[in-house]
Amino acid sequence: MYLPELCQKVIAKFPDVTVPPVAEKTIRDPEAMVMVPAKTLVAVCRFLRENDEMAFDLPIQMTAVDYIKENVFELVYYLYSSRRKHAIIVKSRIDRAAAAIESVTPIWAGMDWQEREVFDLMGITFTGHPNLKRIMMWEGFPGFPLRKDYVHVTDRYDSGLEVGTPGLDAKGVPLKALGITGEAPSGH
Amino acid sequence: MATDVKPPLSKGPVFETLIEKVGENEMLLNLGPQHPSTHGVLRVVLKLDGEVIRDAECDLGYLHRGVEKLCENRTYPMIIVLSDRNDYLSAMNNNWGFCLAVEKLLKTEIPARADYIRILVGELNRIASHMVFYGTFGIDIGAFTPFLHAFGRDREEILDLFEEICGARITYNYVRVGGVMLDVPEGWIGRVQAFCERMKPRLEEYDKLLTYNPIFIDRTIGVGKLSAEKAIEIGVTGPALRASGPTLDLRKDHPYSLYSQFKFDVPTGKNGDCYDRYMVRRQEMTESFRIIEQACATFPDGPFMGKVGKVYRPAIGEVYAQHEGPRGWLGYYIVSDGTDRPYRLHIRPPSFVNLQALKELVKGWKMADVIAILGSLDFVLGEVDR
Repeated sequence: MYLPELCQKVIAKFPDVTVPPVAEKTIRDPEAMVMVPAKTLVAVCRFLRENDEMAFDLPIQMTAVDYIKENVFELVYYLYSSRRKHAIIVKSRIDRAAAAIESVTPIWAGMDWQEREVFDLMGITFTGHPNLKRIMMWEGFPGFPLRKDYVHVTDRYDSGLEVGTPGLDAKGVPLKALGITGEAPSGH
Repeated sequence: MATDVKPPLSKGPVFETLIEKVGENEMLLNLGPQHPSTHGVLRVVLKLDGEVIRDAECDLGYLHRGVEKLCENRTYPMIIVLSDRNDYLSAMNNNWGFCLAVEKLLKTEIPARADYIRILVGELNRIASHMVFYGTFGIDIGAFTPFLHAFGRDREEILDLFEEICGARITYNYVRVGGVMLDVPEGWIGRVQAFCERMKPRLEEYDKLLTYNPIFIDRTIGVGKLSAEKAIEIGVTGPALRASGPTLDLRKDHPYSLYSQFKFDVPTGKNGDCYDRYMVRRQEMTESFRIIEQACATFPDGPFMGKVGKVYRPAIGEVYAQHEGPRGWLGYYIVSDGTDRPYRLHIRPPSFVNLQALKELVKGWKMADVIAILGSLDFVLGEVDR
């Protein structure tokens, strides 16, 4: 279901929207995909929802990826049209240091908890969200677990063999912890 | 091992009321986290005016295990084991959804026999999951016998069939990237066909016990109506959406695997009330049996596993794959950086998104109806919290 004309229509309306070139497009299924600057995200989403040709009324999912090497968070929205039965992926990149973007919950009520989850676990603030509170972790939990630079705080539930525990190698193999030296056992 | 580190639990979970403004005649009622009709550890704070619900707020996270973070440190075959634990009532479908995503990432072709086995176990698991719904929904309403029939007798037979093919009854780890773990044992297809035959009169019994039960009808018809527009706006999928009218079903609209070869209908409701949500699942059982019978009749020979190495490193890229699970659209979003572990893995659990509808559904209904509405949404907390 590759719909480049769908992307072309979005670009015709919003010139700063880009479509990743096919050669660079690493996504396996030929879905329509647009890259939207953070400041026009809400305008594009509103267009996708309200335009009759687009009619993306079903918010399937949204999530965020931490590309720490490029120093960006990438937000990925997967939208579907229940009437036209087509899908589009909307992406937006924001700077890691200023992790905030406008909320799309006023457009799709179904993004509410998903944005709260990203806020909770990835530490991205959604401005304009009606109820931006932690959803999975408790208030006061240190850090954002899904960020790539999150450091696991050892607690009483640890077996001592977790990845990132001091004394383990990068793959979590318990070399020093168990007093083993040399090669890691195969198949671990 | 690390005994000198103090656990960061001093700031542990705090009791919050979640809803602040309470009027003069209103009171807050705490439902859960340990309550039989929340089907897991879900806490709902209800604002009551007399017996009428004015507002509701869900408190999640009691079962949060950080599955998405765990996946980043595990190789792809190890993640199938974790996917079992998300929606533990339909673990086959979870295995399958994850494998669909990895296969798309690897661009793997899988043999027809493997697809047939997947459809067989997937639909059997869908029926088993709906049987749990059927039984527990009856209990929620006050009818105990359906539970003994569906959960205690018929679901056990499906679990026996699963035990035969993979050795496990709940967490299967059976669907693998490229195919399935093992071929079906000799005579298994015959036993599935015999089970389908046995179930035909039993489904009529199900109808006698609940579908036409006047008390059940009184408790569910017209209760907790969800309009199609609202359901779509919230992102509700699966039987809960189809009960409101739309016929969205990935197996029909965007056929994957070999679903395009099978004849089946997509049951829908009209009113989107608790009764319609029950009826859609009840009819889906019949449709799943239709698919199973067709698959048994045309079960092909051939390999059960495609050409996938023991260790695989998908090329750099990303993928989003969806599967029509018993509770709705189960999606896996995977970003690969070319190693044997995913760089990022996000699960789109249907229950998590569907549960958002609860707040809208319970408003204006009485306390006893909350239990019916909770049951009719049929969520699994293991999948909500991950």
